[in-house]
Amino acid sequence: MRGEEAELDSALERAADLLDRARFPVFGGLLTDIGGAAAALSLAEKLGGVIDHAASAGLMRASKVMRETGGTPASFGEIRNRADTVVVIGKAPLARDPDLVEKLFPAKPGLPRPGDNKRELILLGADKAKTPKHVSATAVDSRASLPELVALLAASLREGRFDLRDTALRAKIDAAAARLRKSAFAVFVYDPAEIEEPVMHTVLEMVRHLVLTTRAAILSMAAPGNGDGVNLCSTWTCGLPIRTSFAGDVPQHDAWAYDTDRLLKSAEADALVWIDALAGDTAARPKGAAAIVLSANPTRAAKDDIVIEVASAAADHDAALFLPPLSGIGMVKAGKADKGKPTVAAVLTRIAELIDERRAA
Amino acid sequence: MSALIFELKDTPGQRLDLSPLVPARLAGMSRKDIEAVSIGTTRETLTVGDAFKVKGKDAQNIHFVGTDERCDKIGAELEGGAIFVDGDAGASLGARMKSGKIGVTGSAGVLAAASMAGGEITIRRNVGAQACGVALGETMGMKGGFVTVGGDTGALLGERMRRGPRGRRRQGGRLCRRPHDCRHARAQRGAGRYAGYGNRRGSLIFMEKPKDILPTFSDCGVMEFDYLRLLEKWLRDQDIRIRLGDRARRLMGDMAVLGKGEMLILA
Repeated sequence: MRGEEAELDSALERAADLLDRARFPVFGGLLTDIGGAAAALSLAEKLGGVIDHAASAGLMRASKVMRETGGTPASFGEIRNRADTVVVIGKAPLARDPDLVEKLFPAKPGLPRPGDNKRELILLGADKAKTPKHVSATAVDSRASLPELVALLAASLREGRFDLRDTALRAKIDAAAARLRKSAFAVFVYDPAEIEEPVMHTVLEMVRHLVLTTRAAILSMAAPGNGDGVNLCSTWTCGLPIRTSFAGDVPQHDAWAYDTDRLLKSAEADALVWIDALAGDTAARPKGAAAIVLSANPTRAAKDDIVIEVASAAADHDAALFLPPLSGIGMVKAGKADKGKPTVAAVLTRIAELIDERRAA
Repeated sequence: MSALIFELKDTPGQRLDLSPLVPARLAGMSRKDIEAVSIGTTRETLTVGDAFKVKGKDAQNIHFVGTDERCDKIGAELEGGAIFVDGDAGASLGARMKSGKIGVTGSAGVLAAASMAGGEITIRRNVGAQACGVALGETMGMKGGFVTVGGDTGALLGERMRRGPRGRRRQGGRLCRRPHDCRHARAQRGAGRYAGYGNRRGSLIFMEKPKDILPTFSDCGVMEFDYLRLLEKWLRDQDIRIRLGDRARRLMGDMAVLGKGEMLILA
């Protein structure tokens, strides 16, 4: 606190005081479990604040596209067992999960698959350097940008006319499109944080074109830092996704207006609660307002920061998290339980109690 | 009767939601009632009377004076009447409007004319990203009406737009537009990367060659288009003077999707 160590009770009192006086607090980061997210939502509602997640940019894009046109998502298990062609778009999916190919292409054969094609991986805009030996993989990579490669594949898939001087790239694109046309079940994997909405719409157009004659689906990579879990928690709590404000009579969602970075840069938010307490994930804290930092990682405190060391979800305590292989929420056991540090949920609940006591006094 | 004038007193400490200040909702209200309308967006209560000096009476003719980029939702869901903004406008200017007129002397923020269905908006300077795009909670972009932008536009101009002409006089951002099913033409001077990405139908008319043309737009050569002359005349009738001529290089696309659209680059 103000760069000096203080007792937990004193830090909580100061945090309650700061938040009770704040005109428009924002709860950002939200790298926490479902319990921590629920406590943050409850406190944001009490204070008329905003909730946002560090990985909101990709989450908002994916949900916007899904709302606008719908989509046909497939689960990890279904792809692993039934897809014969998997197209990984861009570098981000493999950077986010280096074991992704091994998870989707297990060495042992799985359940019976439709069709008799050999399984094939197509890497669009990525190299195949780290692909396991048992996987038949083709890389379609060139100097062309990812939006251009997606557009070219989509045009070739529809057998439409397009002008491309690079004959080697054209041959690869045409071969990938031919493979997709004869697939029994093709799946496109992408990270919504890497590609923009028009590109996602073009991927969905490819799926719509393929499903006229065969089966096709998408796998949108889950947001890091339990982003999907926090988003689901927000949706079942208040009916709206993250980037929602509780300042008015009813909660209001706005992906542009309630972006943590924007709120802090424009000085519209006057207090920040930054939560960074999830095993294996961390996010850089934005600057711009007095901050209450709930962190499980070593953090540098600015002059007016209140830093509270908390337990790391899934490392120091059991945690309910969004698990991509299940496409749902599951419990993750703690590696080694540490009951010496409070959880995010416990800290936020205590701050809420202190605010209630102040208001009652 | 004199116009109903809202003159901003000071730079607001929070974003203002000005969607209640439209003719249909203000008609018949006394000045005291208008001044009591809540326009705040934080837990700090803020009314019209706190933020604006209110003058005049005619609720069909509203003037905002001295507004800035924090004044959001001006003319949102407008269904008739006129709004004149002497200053800048914030996000969602004229979003979902059905009829009426809005004029802005300065710039407008993101989502201007989003999911607009009818009416007319003129913005003298720049607009932010996703102008004429998809309003919050909607699935489609601009469906009708007429928008003129005197300056630059941000990214994703006309995203998922279906209908309605739009004139723009300067530069556009990256992934410039993705009309879903528009049937009208629009004229623009230049564009950022990937103009027309995902264009299904409709015509994009460029006065200068866009920065990067996608390979999925097929070059059909230079042709004569009589409708350019008709469009030029129609734009002149709307007080927009752009010389289009009748010759243009035609590129069909986007072949990545339906491919029934075109990009015309004036010759």
